[in-house]
Amino acid sequence: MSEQSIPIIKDEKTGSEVYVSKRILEQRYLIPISRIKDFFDNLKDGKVTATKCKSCGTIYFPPKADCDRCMSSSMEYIELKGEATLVSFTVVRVKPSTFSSFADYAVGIGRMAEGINILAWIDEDLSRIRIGAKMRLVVMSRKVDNTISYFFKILGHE
Amino acid sequence: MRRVAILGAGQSRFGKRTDVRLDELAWESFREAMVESGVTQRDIDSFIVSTLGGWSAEVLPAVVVGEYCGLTPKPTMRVEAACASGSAAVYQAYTMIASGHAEVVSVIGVEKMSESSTPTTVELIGRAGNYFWEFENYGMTFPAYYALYASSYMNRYGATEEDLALVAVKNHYYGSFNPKAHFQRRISVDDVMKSIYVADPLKLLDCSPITDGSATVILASEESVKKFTNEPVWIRGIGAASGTANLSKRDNFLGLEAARKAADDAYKQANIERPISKLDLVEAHDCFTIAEVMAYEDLRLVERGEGYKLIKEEQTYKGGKIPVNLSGGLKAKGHPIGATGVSMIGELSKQLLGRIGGERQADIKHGWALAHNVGGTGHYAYVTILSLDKNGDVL
Repeated sequence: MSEQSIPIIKDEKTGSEVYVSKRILEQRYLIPISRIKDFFDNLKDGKVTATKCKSCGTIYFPPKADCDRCMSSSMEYIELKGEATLVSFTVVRVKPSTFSSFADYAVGIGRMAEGINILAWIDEDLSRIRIGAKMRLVVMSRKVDNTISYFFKILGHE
Repeated sequence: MRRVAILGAGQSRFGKRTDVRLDELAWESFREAMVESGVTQRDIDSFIVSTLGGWSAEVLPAVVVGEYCGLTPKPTMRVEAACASGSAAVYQAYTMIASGHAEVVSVIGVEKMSESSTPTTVELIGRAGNYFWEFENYGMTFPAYYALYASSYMNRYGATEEDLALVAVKNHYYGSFNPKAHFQRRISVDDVMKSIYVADPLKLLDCSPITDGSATVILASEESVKKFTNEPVWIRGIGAASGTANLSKRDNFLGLEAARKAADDAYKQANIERPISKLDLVEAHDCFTIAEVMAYEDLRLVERGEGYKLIKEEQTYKGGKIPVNLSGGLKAKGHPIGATGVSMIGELSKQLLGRIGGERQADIKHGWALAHNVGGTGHYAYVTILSLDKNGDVL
């Protein structure tokens, strides 16, 4: 943009003149986790946990503080065994802008031994991933952004 | 409940519309719908604006559009159901009229996606699911969500990437005859196969584009219809359903449960038992090629696992068993999120009245058409059934 006082430029693709807004907004969310804080404490200890309703026994993943079935809010945390089968997956190549610094990554849905599904990255050579693969859910710190979360590792193929 | 009819419809040219603001874009379709229907602002009781937004500047699009279109101080609201916002807005207008609360309601769908950069838009659509559990740490994108369905579907039923590409080839073929389509050039299976992978197995040409556009329909009660037109198109059923926010909560990735529920509900209202022999044409939500294949099955045009064979046999071209997306679909016509459902319903009303003409005009034998509009990845689903006849069958 030149020194002119009206911020108008030509759109590179279409050639239309557009007004470039000067109001740049940075947005970062502060997401409450108080009611499922134990999940994150457990994660820090290397364990992935689901919540289980003490009243009706329903298991929730992602963990929930409230049971919508029986209206109880009395939950216990159960550690998942980590055994999973790959139901489906994709490799994300065109990434969201906030993931632009990452190499291409595989995301899969794993069916856990407990009968629930989990969506997570699959930490594996991208060409070796097949539907039906036996996997293990592990807690790791991701190198690129030092975030501790849960990821799948492939054990072998059926 | 009163019967509700479509009096007229309009659509802007779809594409990268850096030449117009949101309100100017909305006016293009609203003006056309007023001209077609003979309705003026004075006749309209209320207007509903469907937009997802986030990528465009205006935070209150309904009032900005209302002021520009000369509709202030009519009551309004913005309706959001992701990519099904347009159908959700039509549903809202329908219930207002059917209940006797309004006589004439305009639905204006508009989306101005090109005001933000492509990576920002990819980011925002990727957040459309469950942000906290599936986006924050795992960077899902909209193509990636549908790719989970494509991988699972191909693995289960033996469909190939080439089979999916046939959907893009068909929709670009019809887009080439639509002067308002974002893409008006034909493509080959080879073009699709050579395009870059976006989220395996989906490639760039399996995906609908980021599009700006607007579409309007004007609806009226059966009592008010005759004041404006002798050629109304009747809304005979609207089915709607929702799906879980987290994809991990779904039982399988072979079809969209919400779309199936919405379709069954709409068929029941319209008393349709064998849709493939009653519908003259369908506008289906082909945000990705896999989505159209699943739509064939979710709409019960074919059995589960048979959808890809329908396109392989070219049965969804004109002259086939059931023409789908003669507009070019989201794939070639473009997918301006909030305008898409309104555009489908408006397009079908013109199809039923024989006003499309040329290569894209369907043969209207029964007088029935269906719009299948999905929001997010089966997060929302709306199925709207239109007919030339108010009560019984035509012909």
